Amino acid sequence: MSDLHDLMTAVDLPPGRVDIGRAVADGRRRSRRRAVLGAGAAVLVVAGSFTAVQQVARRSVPVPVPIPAASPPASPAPPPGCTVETYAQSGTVEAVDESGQYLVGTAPNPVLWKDGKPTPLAGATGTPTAVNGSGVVVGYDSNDQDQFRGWVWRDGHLTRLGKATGYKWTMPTAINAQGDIVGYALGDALDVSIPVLWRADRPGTAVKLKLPSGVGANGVIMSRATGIADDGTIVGVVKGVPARWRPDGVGAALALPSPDNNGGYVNGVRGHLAFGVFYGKGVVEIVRWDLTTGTMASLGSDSGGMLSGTADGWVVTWGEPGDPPVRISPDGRRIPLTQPAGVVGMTRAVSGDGATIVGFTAGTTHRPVVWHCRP
Amino acid sequence: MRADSEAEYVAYVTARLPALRRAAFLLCGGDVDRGDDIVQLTITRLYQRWRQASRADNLDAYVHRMLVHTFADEKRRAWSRVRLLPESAADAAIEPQTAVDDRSALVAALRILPPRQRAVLVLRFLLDRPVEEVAEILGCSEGTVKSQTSRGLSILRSQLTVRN
Repeated sequence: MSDLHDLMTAVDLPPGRVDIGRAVADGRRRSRRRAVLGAGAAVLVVAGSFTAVQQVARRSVPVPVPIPAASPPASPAPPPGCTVETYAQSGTVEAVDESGQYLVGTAPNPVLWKDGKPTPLAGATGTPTAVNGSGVVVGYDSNDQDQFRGWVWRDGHLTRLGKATGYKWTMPTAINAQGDIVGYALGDALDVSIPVLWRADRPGTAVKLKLPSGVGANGVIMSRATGIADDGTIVGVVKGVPARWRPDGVGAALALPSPDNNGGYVNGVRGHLAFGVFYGKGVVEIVRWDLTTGTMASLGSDSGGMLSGTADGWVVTWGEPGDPPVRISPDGRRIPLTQPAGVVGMTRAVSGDGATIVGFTAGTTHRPVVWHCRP
Repeated sequence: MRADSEAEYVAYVTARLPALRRAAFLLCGGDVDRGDDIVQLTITRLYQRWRQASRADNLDAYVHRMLVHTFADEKRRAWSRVRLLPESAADAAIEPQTAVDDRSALVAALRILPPRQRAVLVLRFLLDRPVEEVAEILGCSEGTVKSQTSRGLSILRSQLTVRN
């Protein structure tokens, strides 16, 4: 196809909004800010569209679960803060278990850290996605075509996760204390996915979760499981809409702040709290769901849409260069996360008690970053 | 930044902007808003590094590398749990079909390719980067670049034949 260059050049490019003047202004501002920071100083966060007060929707929305009025949970005393350490070797930390004991990541192959000591996951390649309190790890391999093969690693043995009938690829997203695993299955039409469960004692068998009828947007075919609690409750999305499945397998949509929406996403569950985002018109809001009461709290807007939560309702955003991660208290206060000197540390996960936050530095090569927060 | 360096930066970016926008547009599978966001972020970072960048042997290659890494970082950020076509959870829900330029058969065919294959084809054919540079930018071997190229081209060929 020697004329591919011509074909690409001939594509009709819609008008755009790239603004060189703004790039200069932003570039100057960032350079100045960097010059002001000393070693170990907290990053100055420009207050964005931050809502200080937890909002609880009282409108009824066209989803099954009614939303009783709820009072804000008692806010714990302001935390003393976090210290941060950056590991010397390159790699990433991708997940941490509920207790904060086990960290998993890549260096560059899958590795498990316990009490700061790394153990390579013998036989595993690719990227871990979750670990439980027994040190059981799930993850996936992928190739250049983004074809994912999920695995579980336990006591030194790697097992491939079973495929769902009709779907070639598997991606695990979470594992609970019992070792039950959830995630999703995909076909070669990469935009179709279905939520799947692999039981602890039968990782070779993929159990398809039943999609609740009438849930989700037409034309959106992404359905996934993204978290599993120790009681067997599963959370995820059904056709682009946040949802949960009870341990008996019955699924339902989760409440959203407004009926005027484009769905949302659930990032995970800790205890009886689920965390995710809501896609309104022109806004992405962080949402925390209480799965036992059915209440939902909106915690203000976020540009990235990716976050983790703790068992007592704190949220930690992933962050990115230009938009560093923050912790959000249960009542919606935003606290910038202490950053390592001279680099941007992005988060990926937090332990159940909020004391351990893990992630890695931004940039073309990454280094693991671990925050220790006094609870 | 000194005034003459800044003028130099503005001149460079003004001249290169259409090509960068086109590359980002194709990398994002025809999503002009995401593509422009990636270009905006890339040129902002370029401003911050202009002193170093303007001394590079091949400034175009340097900027193309930044563009692809910004694309990959943006993907990785939204993606390492949320991958695929449609590109991120946000895009899937917010603009399921409408953000995409469906008028172009080529853009639609490129959307079918996995992001990495798309990046290889855009770098090699739109931006004319040689194989060894593409390999370095994407962090893979030259052999992988070549095989990704032939696989990507054969998929494009079959898609464009069907559509015609």
